[in-house]
Amino acid sequence: MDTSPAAPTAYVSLPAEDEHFGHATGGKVGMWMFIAQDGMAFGGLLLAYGLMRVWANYWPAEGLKPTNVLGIGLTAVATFVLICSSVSMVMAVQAAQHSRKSATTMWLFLTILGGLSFLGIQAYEYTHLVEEGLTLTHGNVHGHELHPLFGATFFVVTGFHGAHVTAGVIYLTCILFGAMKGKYTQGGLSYSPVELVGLFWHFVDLVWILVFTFIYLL
Amino acid sequence: MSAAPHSPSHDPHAAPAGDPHAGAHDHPTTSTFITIWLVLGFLTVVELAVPRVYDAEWNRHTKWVLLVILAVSKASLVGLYFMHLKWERPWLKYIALLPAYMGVAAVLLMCEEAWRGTVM
Repeated sequence: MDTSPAAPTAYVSLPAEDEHFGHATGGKVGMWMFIAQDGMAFGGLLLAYGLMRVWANYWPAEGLKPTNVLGIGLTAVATFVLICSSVSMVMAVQAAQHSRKSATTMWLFLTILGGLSFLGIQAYEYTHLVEEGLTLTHGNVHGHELHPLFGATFFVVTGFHGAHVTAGVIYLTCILFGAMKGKYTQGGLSYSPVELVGLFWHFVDLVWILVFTFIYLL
Repeated sequence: MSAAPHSPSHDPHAAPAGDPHAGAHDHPTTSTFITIWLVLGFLTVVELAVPRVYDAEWNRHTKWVLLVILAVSKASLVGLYFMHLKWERPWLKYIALLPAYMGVAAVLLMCEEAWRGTVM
C-alpha cells in the first residue's frame, strides 16, 4: 500500500452538481442507502417487539414494569456516553475538514473510547441480568416469573445494537490508523472517509436513542 | 452520477457559482453541536422522569405518547444536525426517511391488533 500523500487531484474537487443529490459524493449516497436498509433491519425487530407488547397481557410480569427489572440508571449513563461520542465524532469530522491532523486523531480516539465504554457497560449489564436469572429463553427475577419472550426480545434487540457498536469501533479504529498517517487531512475531499464513518456512528447512536426508550422505558 | 470534476476548489463547502441553494448552505459550527448535545442531554433527563411521573396504570397511554415523542425528537436532532441531513438535498432525505415506514407499519398493525382484541 502506498502511504505517501496521494496526488491532490484525487481530492480537490466536489462531484459535479447532480439534480437530486447536489454535490453529495457517491460514498455518502452509498452510506445513506446502507443506513436506510440497516434501519429497516432494526425497524423489523422493533416492530415485532411492538406487536408483542400489544398481545402481551403483562410485560414483563404481573405488577412489574421493564424499569423494575432493567437497570435504568446505568443504561442512562451508557446513553449519555454514546451521545457524547457522537459529539466527539462531529468534532473529528470538523477537524479533518480543516486539515488538523492531531485534532482529528484525538477526537477519533475519544469517540472510540466512548464506544468501548458503552460496550463495557453493556457487558456488565448482561452479566448482572444473567446472574439475576434473565436469559434468552427464560426469566425469573426477584421471584417473579417473567414473560417467556422478555429475555429473548431484550437480548436480541440490544445485542443486535451492541454488534453495531462493535462494528463501529472496529471501523473507527481503521479510520484512526489512516488519520494518524495524515490520509484524511490533505484538504479538499480527503476528509470524506471520516465523514462516512461519522454517518455510521451517528446512526448507531440514533438507533440506541430509540432502543433505550422502547425497550427500557416504555 | 457523473464523476466529472467540478470547478477545482480547495474548500469542499464553497458553493459553486450559480447554485440556487448557495444561500442555504450555511454549515453548522461547534456551537451548534454543543447546543444540540445539551438539548439531547436535557431531553434524556426528561425521558428518565416520564416513567416516574406517569407511573400508574390509568395514565400509561400518556407515558407512551410522551416517550415516543421524546425519542423521535432526539433521533431527529441526531439525524438533522449530527448526520447533516438539514443541509442535504431532498433525495438524500428521502433515502434517510425510508426506515420511518416501519413506524407507520407499527402504528397500523398495533391499531389493527387492538381493534381485533375488542371484537374477538
